[in-house]
Amino acid sequence: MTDNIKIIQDICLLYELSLAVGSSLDAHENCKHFLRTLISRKSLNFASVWLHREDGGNGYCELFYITPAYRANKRYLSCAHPVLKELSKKPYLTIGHADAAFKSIITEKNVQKGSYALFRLGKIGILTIFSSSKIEGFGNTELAQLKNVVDKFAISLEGCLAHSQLKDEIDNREIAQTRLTNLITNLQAGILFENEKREVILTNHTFCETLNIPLKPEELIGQNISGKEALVKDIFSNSKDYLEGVNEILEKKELVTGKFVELANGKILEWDFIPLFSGPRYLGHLWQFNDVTARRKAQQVIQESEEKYRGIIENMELGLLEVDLEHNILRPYKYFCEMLGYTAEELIGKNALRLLVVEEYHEKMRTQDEIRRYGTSSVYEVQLKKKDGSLMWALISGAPITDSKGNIVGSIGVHYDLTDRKRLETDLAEAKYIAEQARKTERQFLVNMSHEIRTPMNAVIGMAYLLGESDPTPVQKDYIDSLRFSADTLLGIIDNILDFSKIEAGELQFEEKKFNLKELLAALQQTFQFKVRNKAISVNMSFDPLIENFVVGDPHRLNQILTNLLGNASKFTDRGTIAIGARMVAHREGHYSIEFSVQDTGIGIPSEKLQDVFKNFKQANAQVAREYGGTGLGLTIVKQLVELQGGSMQVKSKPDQGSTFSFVLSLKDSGIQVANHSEKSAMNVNHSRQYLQRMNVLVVEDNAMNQKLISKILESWGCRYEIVNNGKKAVSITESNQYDLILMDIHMPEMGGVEAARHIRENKQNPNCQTPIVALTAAALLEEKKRALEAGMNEFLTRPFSPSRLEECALRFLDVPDAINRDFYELEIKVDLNYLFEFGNGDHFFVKDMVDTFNAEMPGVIKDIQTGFVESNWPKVAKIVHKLKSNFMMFGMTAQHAKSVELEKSLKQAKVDEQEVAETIEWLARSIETAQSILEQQTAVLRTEAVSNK
Amino acid sequence: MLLKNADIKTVEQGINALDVQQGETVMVLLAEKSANEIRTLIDFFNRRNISFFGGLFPGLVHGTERLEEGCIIKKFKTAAAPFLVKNLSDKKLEGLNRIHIPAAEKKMTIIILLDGLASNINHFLEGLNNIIGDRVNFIGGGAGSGSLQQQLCLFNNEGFFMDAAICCVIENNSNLGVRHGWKKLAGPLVATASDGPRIIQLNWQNAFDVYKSYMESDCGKTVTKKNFLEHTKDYPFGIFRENADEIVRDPIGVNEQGDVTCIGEVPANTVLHILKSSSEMLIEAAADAMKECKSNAKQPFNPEKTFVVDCITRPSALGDRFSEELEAIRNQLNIQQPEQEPFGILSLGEISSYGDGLLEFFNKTIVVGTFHAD
Repeated sequence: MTDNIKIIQDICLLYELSLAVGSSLDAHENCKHFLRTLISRKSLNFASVWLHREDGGNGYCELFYITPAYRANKRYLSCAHPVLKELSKKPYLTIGHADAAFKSIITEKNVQKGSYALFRLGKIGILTIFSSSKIEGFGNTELAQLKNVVDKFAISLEGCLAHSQLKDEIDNREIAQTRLTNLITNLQAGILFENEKREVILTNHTFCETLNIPLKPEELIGQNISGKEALVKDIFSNSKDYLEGVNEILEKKELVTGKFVELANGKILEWDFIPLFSGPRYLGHLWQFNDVTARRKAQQVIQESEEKYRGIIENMELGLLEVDLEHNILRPYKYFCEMLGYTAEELIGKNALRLLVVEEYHEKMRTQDEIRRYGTSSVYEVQLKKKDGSLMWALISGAPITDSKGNIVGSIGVHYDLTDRKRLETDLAEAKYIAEQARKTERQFLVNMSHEIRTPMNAVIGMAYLLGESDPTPVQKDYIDSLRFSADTLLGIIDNILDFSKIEAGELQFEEKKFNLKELLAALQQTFQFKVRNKAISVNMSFDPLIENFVVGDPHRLNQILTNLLGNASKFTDRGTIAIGARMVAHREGHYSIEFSVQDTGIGIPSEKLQDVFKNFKQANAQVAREYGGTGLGLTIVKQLVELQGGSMQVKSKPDQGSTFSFVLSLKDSGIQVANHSEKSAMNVNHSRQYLQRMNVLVVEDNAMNQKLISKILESWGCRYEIVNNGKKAVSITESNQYDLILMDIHMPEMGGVEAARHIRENKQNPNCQTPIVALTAAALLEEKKRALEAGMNEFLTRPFSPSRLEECALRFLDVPDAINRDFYELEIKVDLNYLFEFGNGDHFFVKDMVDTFNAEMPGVIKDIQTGFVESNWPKVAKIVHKLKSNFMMFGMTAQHAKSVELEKSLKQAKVDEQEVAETIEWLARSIETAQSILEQQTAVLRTEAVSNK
Repeated sequence: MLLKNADIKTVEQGINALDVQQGETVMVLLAEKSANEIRTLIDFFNRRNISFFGGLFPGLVHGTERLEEGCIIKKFKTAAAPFLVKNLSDKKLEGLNRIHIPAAEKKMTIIILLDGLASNINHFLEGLNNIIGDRVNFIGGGAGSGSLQQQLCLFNNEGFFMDAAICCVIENNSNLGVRHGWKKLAGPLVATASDGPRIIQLNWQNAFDVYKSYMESDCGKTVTKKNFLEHTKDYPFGIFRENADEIVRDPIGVNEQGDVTCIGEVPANTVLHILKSSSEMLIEAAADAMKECKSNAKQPFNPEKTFVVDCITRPSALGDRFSEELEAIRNQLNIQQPEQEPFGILSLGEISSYGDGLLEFFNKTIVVGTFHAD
């Protein structure tokens, strides 16, 4: 009974396994289903299918399928393996764990003990199964049962593989056919494929279109069209000839290509005939038609065009040359031959490089060859040798020549004779060099002149000042005043010449400084009103109230322009008015556009002379020069100063009616309102003075007079200082002493300032290698300045400079907080000389004396008042303030006057607020310094006026 | 950790008590009656940035107790986040290739929880086996409702799913024991026509008619489509395997045409037997499963955890004696580990790699896995 059940179970299992075979036509799916069922029902670990492969006569088996997939470890088994050899003789075999061959046939991961069984799969390969629960191999009965199922599986798998191969072939054929049909359909050529009976098998749209056949390609299938006269008679221009030709070709059945035929509508077709054979069997033929009408026409046009341009080129003064890649001459054009004096025959086949190009340009030519290899055109210059041995310069435009496949086979060069132009260039370069040398000499002369004249002038002015302080007799004082005035005038003339030179050399620089424009104009008005007091002239001023803020620009240069124009106006006007004005034209993007004008009712300028007034050394006429004097440089400088600041000078004038000079300048808007500004910075003045007092300064100066002047200024600051008289000593002393500031003359014996500065900067051990160095010199040209700055100097002060200018400069280099520094520059002082003029009955000498006295006394006064403050000697301070009070009133310094009245009052009270007193004193001291600077500007005008009135 | 009260606060406290560290994942086994706050639970884990996975089951087991409510939470050291495979019914199983098994000297274990009522489970397991094979041990079971209606039953940090599977690679080595205790009553029969889990014909005849005749001749009662389930719990099918235990297929329904539906696939032409068992055999099978684990394990036998995947039909087959089955397991465990309580699920289908063989989906079976630290 048990045996029967076992038999039934076996039959059922084999039944299940048999039905698991051939579940799919896909070989992998077939394997998958069968092996999965086999493993599950036979309690196996894995099973795999291997297929025979051939590799040059060496047979091997390749893993085709394994389940589970992770078991796969090796993918190939050699057919020479003893087990496989044995299997080739038997339908199956088993290898147990104990068998010697066991290890050699393991191709899976993680196999230790168990048994393999291998089945032959017909001729296609083998099947292996593995069970870890069987140690001594599979039972024979079991294998015999399975063999029948495996044989079925082999046949089904063979079928699957054959099916797959066949399917691939069919697919490939279909793909190929589809590709061919698509290719023919989409070909740009007209295709007609006919069988041996001349019936159409395949054709395309292009064929119908090209030959003007009013049918669709599919409508032509099966028809004989190439042989039907009725069908082709309207198509070809000579259908009879065509048909005869076709019949002859079909008779011969030989390949024909590149034939042309003209259609009735004028189209030209190029056609090919391709006979198709399969061995000896004739299958049909293929006609291919291409519409070449456009190409033929284009060729014709090109040919005509080529002839036309050849004519043009031959007649142009351009030499064309064609060479191969080795520079061998292929074709020299007519003009090229003429340029070099050769005949075409003498050149063809010769090497252009060796024959024509000067040797030093061979390298350049090779570079051009490299460029040309990339298909790039270029333009270059070389020297060529003519037949007669002379040299010529040629500008060559070279381009590659390509063949029909796009390969570069040579180059063509267009040669232009540059010899004359080159000669001209050489001449020009020489002329330029000479001119530059002359200019350089001129500039050097100016530098020297500037230094040589300004240095002694500085001494003359300084000495005259000191002489004036030495209690001279009235007569001596007059002489001294004349001396000082003459020196100032001379300095003014030198300045003019120097300015002119600077402008000409493009070396003039403009400052960016904040200033009160209205005040500048008012001072000028006041000064010139005073100047013309002996004439029946009123000097008026108009100022546009829309210019509310401080402006940023160069006040010195603006003052120079307006002084010059006002000077002219006062010179050429005897009665009437002189008006100075500033009007806002526009205000945008942070800038004021301001129109300045100076108008007079003087002698005027004739219209024909108006164009000349701005020319160098020109005056309206010689008589004017004699009568009114002057260098004739003034207006030229004015015009250029205006233009350099982006403006342009305008002049309107009528003889005997007067002139108006005007210009528009763009000045930056500082954004700070003038009206709210004047009461600011008493406290900051206090701070900046403290900084100056703490300074230790080294003065390097060889000129004794200059030494004396600088000493005086530095003493007024209350700071420590030392003086040495040449660069060498400066270098030596700076190695041992630390300074806060070095003032350095440029021209000195033994070692100049520039060299000394370089030594100090370059020696990193020198404690002053970072100390600010300010150059002091009379030489004022840009080159000089550049050299100084390059040597490591930080700033450049041109002599003669004012004490305030030096102070301003020093403060910039001290570690002064920005706010203090800035506010110091913003300090605004109002000075009014009207009181003095009135007091002195308009005597300018009196006014000038007063100004000089003020300037001379004030440093001492400031020092006294500061000493008094340090000693808390309030009565002493009050006494000095009392004296100052009257000074302020005399010079129209109303704010300072009011402040000193207040201070005097508070000092006389029992309790003094020291902080407040300190601040007020410092504010007054700073106001005085600033007033001195303003007064300096005004006294320059006074000097001129004093002389002209004398 | 067993939480008999599975309200969200208790579960959250329980998880806090586990003190989950970086590189650890929490497994949450939830009785379907306690499944009201799954989304809140997912939010909780995500807020705390804790990796987790779990499923809903008709019941849980802990020690000798069968629980219809409550929750069991366990943490495992894991090499990667649990891997989710969605849309099991869609045979493409996209993303299965991305499952990553870190290279390690010791053999790791994959816990698989899947929708027990999804189709193509065998296909999924075959795919998994094909890719991963015996590099790891597999243990797991089918989640879902005791009502046998397919519903959302699996969850992890990504959400709450049905028709899905979650695989978690844990760093423990394991030993497995698989037994069912069913013996052949009749057969062999051939499932001459089938479609997935649905047997259409047996021996070229109507499946229900053939099946019914065998049941009736054994129990002496009339089997109808209405009382079908009352009888089938005692007569499952076994898929024949030479030299191995049958793979049990549990019939869970019959349709108008007489097609018999099982948990798990029955491929066409499969050789089947009708099986029968007794309470003693079932209880003995449970003890044998535990013994198998022990016999394969390194000595001394000291597992960290003992996980039981017990088919939901076994309690109904054993009735009041079900606790004896659990007791049999615990007694075997307690010989070496007197303090340890086995824990697990009442599942819709059981999964085990069953030694070196294929990864299989069983019914009416008990799978025991012991997890070891080394």
